[in-house]
Amino acid sequence: MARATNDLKAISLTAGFGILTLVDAVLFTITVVVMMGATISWQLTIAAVLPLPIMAVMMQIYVKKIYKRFTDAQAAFGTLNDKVLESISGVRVIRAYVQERADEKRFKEMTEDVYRKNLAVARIDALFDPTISIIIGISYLIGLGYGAYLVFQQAITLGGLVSFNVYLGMLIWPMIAVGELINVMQRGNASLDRVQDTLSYEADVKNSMGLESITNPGNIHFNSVHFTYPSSTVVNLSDISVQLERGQTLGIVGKTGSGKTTFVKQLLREYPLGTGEIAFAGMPLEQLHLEDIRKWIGYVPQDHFLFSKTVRENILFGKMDATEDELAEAIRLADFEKDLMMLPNRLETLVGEKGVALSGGQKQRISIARALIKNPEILILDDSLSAVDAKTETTIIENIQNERAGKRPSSQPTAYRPFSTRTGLSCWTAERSSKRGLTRIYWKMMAGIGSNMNDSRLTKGRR
Amino acid sequence: MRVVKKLFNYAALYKKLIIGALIMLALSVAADLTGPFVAKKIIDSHILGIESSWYEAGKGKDAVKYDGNWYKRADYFAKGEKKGREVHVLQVGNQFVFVNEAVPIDGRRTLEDQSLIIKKDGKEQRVQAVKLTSQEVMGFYQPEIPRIIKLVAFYFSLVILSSIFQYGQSFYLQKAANRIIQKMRNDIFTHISRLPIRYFDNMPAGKVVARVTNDTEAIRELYVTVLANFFSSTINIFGVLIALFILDPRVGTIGLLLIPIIVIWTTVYRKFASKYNHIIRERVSDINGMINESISGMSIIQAFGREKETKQSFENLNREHYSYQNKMLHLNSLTGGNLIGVIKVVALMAFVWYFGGISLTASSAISLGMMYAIVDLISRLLHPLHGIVNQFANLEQALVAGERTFSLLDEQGLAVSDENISRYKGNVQFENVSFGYKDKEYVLRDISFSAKQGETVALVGHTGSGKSSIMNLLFRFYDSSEGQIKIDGRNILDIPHQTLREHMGIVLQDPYLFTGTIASNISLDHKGITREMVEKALRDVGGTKC
Repeated sequence: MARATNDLKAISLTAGFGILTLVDAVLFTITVVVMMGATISWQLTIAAVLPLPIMAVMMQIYVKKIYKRFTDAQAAFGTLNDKVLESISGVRVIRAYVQERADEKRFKEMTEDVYRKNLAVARIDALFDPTISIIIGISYLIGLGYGAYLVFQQAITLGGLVSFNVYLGMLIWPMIAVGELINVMQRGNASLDRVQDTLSYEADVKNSMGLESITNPGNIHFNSVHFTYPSSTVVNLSDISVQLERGQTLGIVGKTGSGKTTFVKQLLREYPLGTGEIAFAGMPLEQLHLEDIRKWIGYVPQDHFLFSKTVRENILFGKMDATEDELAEAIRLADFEKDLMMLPNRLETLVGEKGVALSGGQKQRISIARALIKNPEILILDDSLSAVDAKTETTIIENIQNERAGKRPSSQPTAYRPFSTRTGLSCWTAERSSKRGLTRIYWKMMAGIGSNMNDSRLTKGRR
Repeated sequence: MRVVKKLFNYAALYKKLIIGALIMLALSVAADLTGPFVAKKIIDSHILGIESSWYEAGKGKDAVKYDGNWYKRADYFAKGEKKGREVHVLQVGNQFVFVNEAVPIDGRRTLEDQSLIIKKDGKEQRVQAVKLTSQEVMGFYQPEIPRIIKLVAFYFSLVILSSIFQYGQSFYLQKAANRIIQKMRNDIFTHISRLPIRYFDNMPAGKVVARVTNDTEAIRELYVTVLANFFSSTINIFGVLIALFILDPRVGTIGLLLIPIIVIWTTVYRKFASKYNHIIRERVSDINGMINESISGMSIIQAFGREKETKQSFENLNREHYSYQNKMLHLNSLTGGNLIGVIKVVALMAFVWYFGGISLTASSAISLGMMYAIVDLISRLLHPLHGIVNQFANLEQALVAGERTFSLLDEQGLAVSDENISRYKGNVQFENVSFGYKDKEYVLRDISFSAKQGETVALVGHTGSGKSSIMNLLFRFYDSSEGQIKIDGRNILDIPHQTLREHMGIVLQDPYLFTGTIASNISLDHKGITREMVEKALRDVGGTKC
């Protein structure tokens, strides 16, 4: 986030102001130096600009020191930022546990840390101008002193001496500008490095060569799939084998952290594939167009994320060119009709960060409507009804089952979250009557999980 | 203006540091501006001074021996000391000549063999002249050298002094600014604990964070860069004007003309710039929001294959930002360096025109050293101007940031109470409680129930029926509009928030965890909670197996 804004700003400053200043200062300096040398005296010119390389060396030393301190200060500021974000997001927890004072104390310690680190930067930063002043002062002294000597030696005229010092005065500005430039460049460099980091990051998942196109996903096949997240130290999925026919439904249960979401994300290909084989209609996943796969899938994620747009736009995100009827149908299926009536501007109500505050259940149902409007080949519900009450949950499940069953009469509408394909395969049969019942089954299942799922078609290897 | 006043009040908290820094700044500028005076003195009295009248004198201090006779400069004669015949040392081109008689020292000089021709006002004067060797010229300069060295040393010590003050000024100003910002941040953060929960309902966390960190950072920029630039530029401008008046009141008056120019310039610039700045800032905030949202919603965007559309709408925002940034650049280029250049040239032209035609020698209307000092000062006058104009954008930004920050501070809040009460029994009673998050939109209507000490009460209902709202009221996250809630018969409105909550524990719907260890999340670093208690609590919820 900061890379896209602050860092780019620093780079633009370097590229704009920096380059301009560099060219300007260098050309100007060269012109002035040549004029001084050509019209007055090369001897005097060389003597007077002699201190300038010293300045360059000093600047380099400062810059090295300031770079480290600056990075430290930025890091401290970043921590402070995170701290505030946490305190705001968790404001209810802090209030409920009367942590206001403790939190304020922690915050004060952090601002003190930021203060100290900024001061460390200031200590060096304040050296730049005085150094330039002294160096320029020395140049002036040489110009006047040695210049006077040259006048006595009858090498230059008095007028020449005066002009020389005026020229010297013209050099002050480019010198200050170059000093500033070095400072800006250093920051620009650091930022450019950070942005390059992001830009040069190869897309983890991309289309490989020689892709096949299939129009229909057909069956889905997982063959001893192993997967580890790039930053994870343990294996997240191990030896998963599943066979799903078209029209079947698959339910996955497991403890928190057992890899349910990881499993469905394999289909979305958000991460590079692990070992083993995942295939649609016998075609390995890596040989299919990424876009095709994602086109088939309607995904309702665990965290119901909505954009700062209207309800309509959020639902149409699933299918931009949907008709009003399709929109209404998706809303009906997600059991959102009644809630919609309560919203101030109905479909045009602004939601997300800038909009009205929706309850978790409302957000989830918009999120479901967004996936349903797509009428996808594969529908993934990842714990998507956690925030709605039992009755609403049943209604939605029934709606989905009826709707999808209506299209695929052969399916066996039995199974349950979090994974459902347009199919009927069920890893277990669930009582559909009440949530309580289901929950009980969940608990029973969970007891046995982590080691084995008692189903021939969904097996989870022992870890 | 309200913002400016508040910013000023904050600055006043560290006035010692700031005033100290400003005094150092003034001293540094003063030391800096003495430079041209010293240079003028060296040029006029010690280098050009050789062309003033010399008289034959006895051997002694400051006397120079040439061709068997001793000569001394007119200014070095003591009062009443007897002067001999007048002679001159004059420069023609690079060549110095010795003239054994009194001659006018202004006019155009040419050298013909052994005679020097001085032309002035159409008249021509021809005198005998002897070319001097370098050694002989050095001889005449001998009395000047210690004086020049003294001045040079003085000049150098001024530079050092100015640099020390400059360092002190810059450091102390930054120190003050950092202190101010620290204080401001602490104030805001403390204030956040006072704000009612309601405030956070429709306020994205990111926005509040921006108030505490980014906006204050922009204000820091104001104190460090903008203030320093404004002060040093103003002091510089006045210093230069004063110096110009000391050198020559006529030039000083011309310099005064610059003030109205600055005022007009400032007004015109700000008029356009504030408009562009406003739009740019809005676009930047839109872009930030969009990036933020796109990052959080990336999995959705990818899952629904909307990368291209998202990119397109970002592109549009970006392009708009670019076009206004460009307009801003045009404005800056138009009013920045180029305009400074033009004013500088005009000022120099005026200066040359005014003294035009007068030949520049030691005794004429304006001396060579004076000329040098004035040209130098005029160049110094214009850079501070540039400095001021350059800071307008920053100033504007800081003012807006300040406004946002102070509006947060102005939000009505309730002091955090440190009062403790002994543990209440816990007889909770709701009496005809009605409540709505928004006016006239009741979530709870006429609720009455009681929960006695030791009882367990379960609330059932479907989504949105108000279960959490009851808890919100009991915890005083919100206060009910009608009816009363009592604990042990005491109305909870009479118990401060913190005191009330101290004896309650809640597991919120949204399981928020802080960065830290499992233990720190359980104990929330409360001093009274030991490791054993944490472990026991964890065992009790079956969390040890994970």
